[in-house]
Amino acid sequence: MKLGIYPGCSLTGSARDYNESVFSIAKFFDIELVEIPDWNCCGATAAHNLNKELSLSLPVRILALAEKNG
Amino acid sequence: MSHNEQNIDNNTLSFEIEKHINVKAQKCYQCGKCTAGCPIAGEMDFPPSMVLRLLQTGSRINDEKILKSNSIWLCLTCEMCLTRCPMEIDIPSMMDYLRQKSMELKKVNPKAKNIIAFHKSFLKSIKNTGRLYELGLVLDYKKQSLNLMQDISLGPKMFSKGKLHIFPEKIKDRKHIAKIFEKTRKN
Repeated sequence: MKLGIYPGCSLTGSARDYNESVFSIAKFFDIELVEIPDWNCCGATAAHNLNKELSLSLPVRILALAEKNG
Repeated sequence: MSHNEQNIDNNTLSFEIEKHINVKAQKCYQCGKCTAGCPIAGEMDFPPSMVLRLLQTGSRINDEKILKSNSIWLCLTCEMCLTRCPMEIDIPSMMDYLRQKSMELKKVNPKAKNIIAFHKSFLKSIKNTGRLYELGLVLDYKKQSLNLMQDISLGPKMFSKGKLHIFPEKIKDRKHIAKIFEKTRKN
């Protein structure tokens, strides 16, 4: 099975332990994880604290990319 | 008759919150479960249940107190209050609304200065590269807040575990991100 994955900004940085866990579990269950190409940051707490529209628009771009790439 | 029908002043903060995000502060019956579960209530000038009570009064003085409080900025949006609330009042969304209102009306609590500086540094990083550059964020925040030594001992530890990147990751379509920022910009 092939699945798109949106890692998020910290998954290769401060949360790399989670990244390693996710990929090893996927391997165990025979799931191929494909990174959504050219994904951006979701805006996290900073966006929804300061600007609601921005906090909705940033993740929408990622969803659109996921849809485009099947 | 419900509280809402009695409340004829349409300019209150609680009315505005209901109108814009459909959160009804009037539903709160002050059980206090939100405050009891809130991990940050002890640091707040008004804990979540008290913010709701102040809203219910519909008094302008109390509305002002909320917009000037540090509570709205200390809220982590962890959603513990919403999970515990027997009336399912969406306090986290309300806090988001109150933060933006407080900024808009220039009533931000002076203690929130560094919190906002952090959020602004965060968004600046995304605007530039499309993704968060953690090291850049830390440096920019230190420059803004002048808390130069804060958490500095964590740096080498994180670096040695490969948790801090030296260089930022840039996405290809940065123009698109710039457009999103431009379109959602607040004056």
